[in-house]
Amino acid sequence: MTTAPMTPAPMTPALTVDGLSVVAGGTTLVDNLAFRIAAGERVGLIGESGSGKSLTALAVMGLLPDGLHATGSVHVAGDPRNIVDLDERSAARLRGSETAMVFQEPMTALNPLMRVGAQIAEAMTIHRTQPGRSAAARAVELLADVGLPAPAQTAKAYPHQLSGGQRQRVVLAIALANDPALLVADEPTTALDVTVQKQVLDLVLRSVARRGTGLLFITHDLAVVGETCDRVLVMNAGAIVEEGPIDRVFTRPEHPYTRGLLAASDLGATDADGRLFTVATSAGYVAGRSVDRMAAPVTRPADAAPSAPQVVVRADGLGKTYTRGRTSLFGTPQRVEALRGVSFDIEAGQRFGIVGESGSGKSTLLRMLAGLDRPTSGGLEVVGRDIGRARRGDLAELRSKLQIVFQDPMGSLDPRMRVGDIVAEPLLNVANLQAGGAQSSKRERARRVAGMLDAVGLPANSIDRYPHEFSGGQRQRISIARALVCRPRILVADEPVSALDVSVRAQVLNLLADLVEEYRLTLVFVSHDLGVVRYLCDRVAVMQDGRIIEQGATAEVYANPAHEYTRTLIEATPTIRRDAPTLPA
Amino acid sequence: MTSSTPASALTAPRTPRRPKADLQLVIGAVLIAVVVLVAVVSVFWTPYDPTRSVTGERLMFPSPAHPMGTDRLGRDVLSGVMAGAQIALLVGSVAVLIGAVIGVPFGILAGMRPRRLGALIMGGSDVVMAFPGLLIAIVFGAVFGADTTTAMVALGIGSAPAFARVARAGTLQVTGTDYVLAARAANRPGLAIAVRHVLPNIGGMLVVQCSVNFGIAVLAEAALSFLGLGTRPPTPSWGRMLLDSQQFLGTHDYLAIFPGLAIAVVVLGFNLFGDGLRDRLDPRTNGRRR
Repeated sequence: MTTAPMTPAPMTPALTVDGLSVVAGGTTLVDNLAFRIAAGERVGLIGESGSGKSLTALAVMGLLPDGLHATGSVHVAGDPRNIVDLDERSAARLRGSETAMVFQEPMTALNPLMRVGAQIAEAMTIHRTQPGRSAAARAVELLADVGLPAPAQTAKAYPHQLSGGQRQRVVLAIALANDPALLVADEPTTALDVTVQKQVLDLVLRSVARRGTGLLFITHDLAVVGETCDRVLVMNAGAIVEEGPIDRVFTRPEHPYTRGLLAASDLGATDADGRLFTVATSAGYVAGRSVDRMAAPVTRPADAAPSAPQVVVRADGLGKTYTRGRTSLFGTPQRVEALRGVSFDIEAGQRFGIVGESGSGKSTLLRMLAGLDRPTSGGLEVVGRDIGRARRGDLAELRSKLQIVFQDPMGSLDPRMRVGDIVAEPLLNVANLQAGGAQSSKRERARRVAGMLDAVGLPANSIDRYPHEFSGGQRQRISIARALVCRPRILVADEPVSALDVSVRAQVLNLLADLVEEYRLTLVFVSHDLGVVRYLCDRVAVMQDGRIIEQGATAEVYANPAHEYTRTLIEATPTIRRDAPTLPA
Repeated sequence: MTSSTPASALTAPRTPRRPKADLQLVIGAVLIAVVVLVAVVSVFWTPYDPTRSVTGERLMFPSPAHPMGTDRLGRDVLSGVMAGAQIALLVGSVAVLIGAVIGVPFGILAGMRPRRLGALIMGGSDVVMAFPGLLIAIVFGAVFGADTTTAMVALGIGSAPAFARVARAGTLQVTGTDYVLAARAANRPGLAIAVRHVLPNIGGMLVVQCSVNFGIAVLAEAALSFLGLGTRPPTPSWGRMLLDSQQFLGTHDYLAIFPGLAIAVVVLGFNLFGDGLRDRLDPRTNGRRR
């Protein structure tokens, strides 16, 4: 039950939720929630996918989709009416004036055919808080408030002319236009880069603090909640399992699930075997143990590497320019420089991390490594083959030695194929079979597939099932099995855990680390997440605007970043460690 | 690179299927089933021989003996309508088959080689598409002699571009996915990707296209027969029955109404079925249905 929050404000609470349940058909998705948000209080709601946190947000806004039914009571800002029972018209009047919402994907939350100034003004004219003419002027003020440069010009821009972070600022300006009592933010920074995320979070905090708005902040990312909120509600399977002030919950979690989440999120902490904690093994985890972040245990024994390190990937002044299609009927096609003079060496057995934000060129680089794309300038040598000049046959040999694991566990598996066939597919190619393996017979293939599925920790009966029957983490295991089934020497992983829940992320990372060791792989790991790279990789290259601006041993780069941008990245990355509370003024 | 997010809780509950789509699907399927049943029955049994003329029974209005009346030669209209279903289904199936067999491989090829070859194929398909299917059929009829076979072939060729377009659009979508990238990275040849990944994943769209094109083909065959360029007498065909009824419009309307209704039922059935199927297989709703 709700413990009265220790806020000094004697005002009416921004939000009071009591006995809220959401039911679809016969299943209860949200079960009997009760919580309160005081005016000006920032409350985080964390949980993994399917925990019901987004449904809670929608129920609070009176926006539940058809087919879902809510019971209980939701009151906003002392309004006597219960939102759950309100008809659509009255609920619509509350939305945007008393309550407002910021969504995850700013591109789809804005109307692409309307100028952003007009969209902000609309929020006011609809609720008649400002007459038409002054609304436009107020919209410009709001744009200045959310920190957009040249607000008058920005007001005339269309959403596609703004960057992701700028769009999210516009969405926030719309939400704040009528000074709502409650702001609901549903994963507002998940789609943004780390550095942008930091700016937007700061902005949200400043805005709600100034206006005394209650904030309900929904996310799967504990670190973000840790840096944003006063109090946190932990949700699992439709119910709140724990709630309390951030400092208490993050350092002395009471519920095992909370402890598991914390342990799995903490990539700086490992158990006795040097593995990441998972929800299952979290018993030994001591939350908030004050380890110096920068000197955390990454160093793995460089197990008896061959005396002369063999370079398996060598990039020398690598460049890639491509022409983007015309954006307007009369415009000239743009030339985009995705890579400009990238050079690095990867030695056999290394775990090489590539870090960068969106647009930094890391995906282009990865495609080239896999021989799916060719460089326009410079040289790239992978396992002794020059990719720039390779012919088909050479590429085939390259591909047999290098395999990829993709980011999206939904999109990387053919939905119409059984798992057994998916994993067996690389084996159908004779060129992929390493020396010694003669023509693979059906039985031989089945044997290897079964062995591989076992190695990635999937039950043997997975073979006959389809990808959609598996969870995200399991699907990523299938991807890994497919990549490793013909024993490549290099494994390239493109953000393999960024679409996964925290608890699953730790398991997949552990699995990757184990397999890299077991199969003596060279790992190239591309990610935007510095924490993940730090855990898994012994070398790291930081990319920005198609260049590698810094590279070196991971521990070294993280401890003493030489480049300004690397420093910014490291500082912008939220952490669940409690020893450095950062509250913006 | 945007980090994609964990699927939100919203996708977890099964979204209730749109009842409208299912209703369409069911009505369409029922109409098609009725037509197929009639066609099969008519092979073995019709009330009268549909080609037999009885001099004394000309232009009789509907009665218990002839529920749909008789035409100017004294032939039973009900028997004609029943037997006409055979030709309609035959023309529809063969035309769709020809269209798909020509169009789909070209479409997939154009999708997998999107640059020059693709542009060439789609350019050619646009040229064919620029001629109305009926015009092609008329030309074929003039050159090879008008009968059911030329009509079927011509309509099939005329519908191939539609299949090519759908197949190409689907192929472009599928080849953009990570699983095709994974297959390429695993060194699989283009043909294997086309057969194992592309075809199964665009199958749904193609079935929808087949259904819609079936309706179009039936309508086109009726139009050709109406122009005297389709099925030759005495084989009963709905289009020719309409042609025959023309001079009696105003006095013996039933002669036009019953074959007209039959055509409408087939076309409606296949279109409803196709639309319902399209909604059911819509890739946007597919992901949510777990």
